[in-house]
Amino acid sequence: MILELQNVTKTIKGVMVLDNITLTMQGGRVYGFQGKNGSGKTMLMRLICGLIEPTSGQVIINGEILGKDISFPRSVGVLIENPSFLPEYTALMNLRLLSDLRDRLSDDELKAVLSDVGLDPEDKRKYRSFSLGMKQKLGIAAAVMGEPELVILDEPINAVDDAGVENIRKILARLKDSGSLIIVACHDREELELISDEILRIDAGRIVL
Amino acid sequence: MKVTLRLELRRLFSSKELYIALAIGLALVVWLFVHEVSESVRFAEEYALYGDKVSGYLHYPKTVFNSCIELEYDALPPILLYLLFPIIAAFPYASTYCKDKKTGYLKNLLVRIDRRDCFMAKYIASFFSGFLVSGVILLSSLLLTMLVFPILTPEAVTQNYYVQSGDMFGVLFYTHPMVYTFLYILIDMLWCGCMASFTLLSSMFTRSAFLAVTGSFIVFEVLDYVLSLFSLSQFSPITFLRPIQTAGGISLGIILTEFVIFTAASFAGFYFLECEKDVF
Repeated sequence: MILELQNVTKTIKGVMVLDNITLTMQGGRVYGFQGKNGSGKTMLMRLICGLIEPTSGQVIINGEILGKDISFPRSVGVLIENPSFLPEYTALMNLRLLSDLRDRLSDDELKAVLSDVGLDPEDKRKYRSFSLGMKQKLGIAAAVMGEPELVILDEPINAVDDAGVENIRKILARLKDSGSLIIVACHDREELELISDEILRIDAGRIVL
Repeated sequence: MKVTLRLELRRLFSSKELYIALAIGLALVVWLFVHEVSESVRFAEEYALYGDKVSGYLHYPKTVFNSCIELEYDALPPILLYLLFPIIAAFPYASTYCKDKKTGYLKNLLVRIDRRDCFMAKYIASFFSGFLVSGVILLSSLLLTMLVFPILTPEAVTQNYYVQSGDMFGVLFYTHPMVYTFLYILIDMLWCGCMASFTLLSSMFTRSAFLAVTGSFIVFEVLDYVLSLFSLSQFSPITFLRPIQTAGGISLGIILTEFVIFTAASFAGFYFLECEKDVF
């Protein structure tokens, strides 16, 4: 997996939120995005997964131009901002519905992912009754199920307990070993340094060296 | 797109909004049914007591074709039903898109499926929800009425029917009333589908589920009011959807042309604009 950003700029209502970003990232590594609130981390993540289009420049994933050759990365798992699922379904059912759209994982595989993040696969409670931490864990489970080539996690350890954080570290390490490219944004500097191979500082929409 | 559509339909059938909309519509159906039966019983009792002295009009039994919710004229339930159809049709599904945007669930979908498939599936599911809800309500009324009232071919001379022979399909009503009724139910179902999908347009401009659901209602009610000011009620969907044809000059051409215009506008507005939009 090779992800290239070439002179990417994004302007929203006259405000430049991403300013001429050029970057190359490779599979098998964890990239940490660090920056203040509003620095452009989340916007850059949205752009990489095809949710927003660059005003200029291009995002190339394995040689395919995003928004031209493909509308979103072919194999991507995303958790951006708050996790969101259908409130009337259980965790397993929510994963199954999303999995049916693309990966078509078996029930055993889905249950294994839930166990990995520290959720009980047999839990019959509906998503609406989940605690904040459980919702976050389910968000991570949805992002990593099927072991996508590109994993984008925005503040993954928000509201997650210590055991959950440990689980996330293990999952990211496993995905990295399997060759996935992982992008993580996190306000906890120590945690970010612990899990990342490379830290990219973002300030006012620019990558700061 | 099949998989996405299956997901959206699954959401539709598991949403409580679908059953609330059906409950509201069926409550109106039952209300009218009770009203019609009690009216008929009262009339029968008076007739037994006083015979022809009951009233001046020609005595003729109530039939399916002036007692079901589609073809009853002056009772409150059909007036309410046709007034509220844009909301009842939109309620089961149309707010879903609004909620998807608000909660961020849309992002979950757009990183897994093509945008065009996603929005097409949502449009079809939305149209289908209005089509289905109106169909269940209207057919339930017809079937319920058929349990009690006779299926007599309408006699124009009795003046107990509200469709005039000069109205659209008027002759059909007096010769093959069941065909007329089913044909009009089909027209209503298609229009309710259109009204439900039209609500997706309002979802594009608001994050409020209430405004999204009432968007279609507001548009069609305002249109009805403006057209009535210019004595052009026959062009208003709120008016021409009632099979009793309360305004003169309604034609299949008007109904179909407006259907195509509104459906194309809602589809083009929703599908093409949303496919191009950034998702935050």
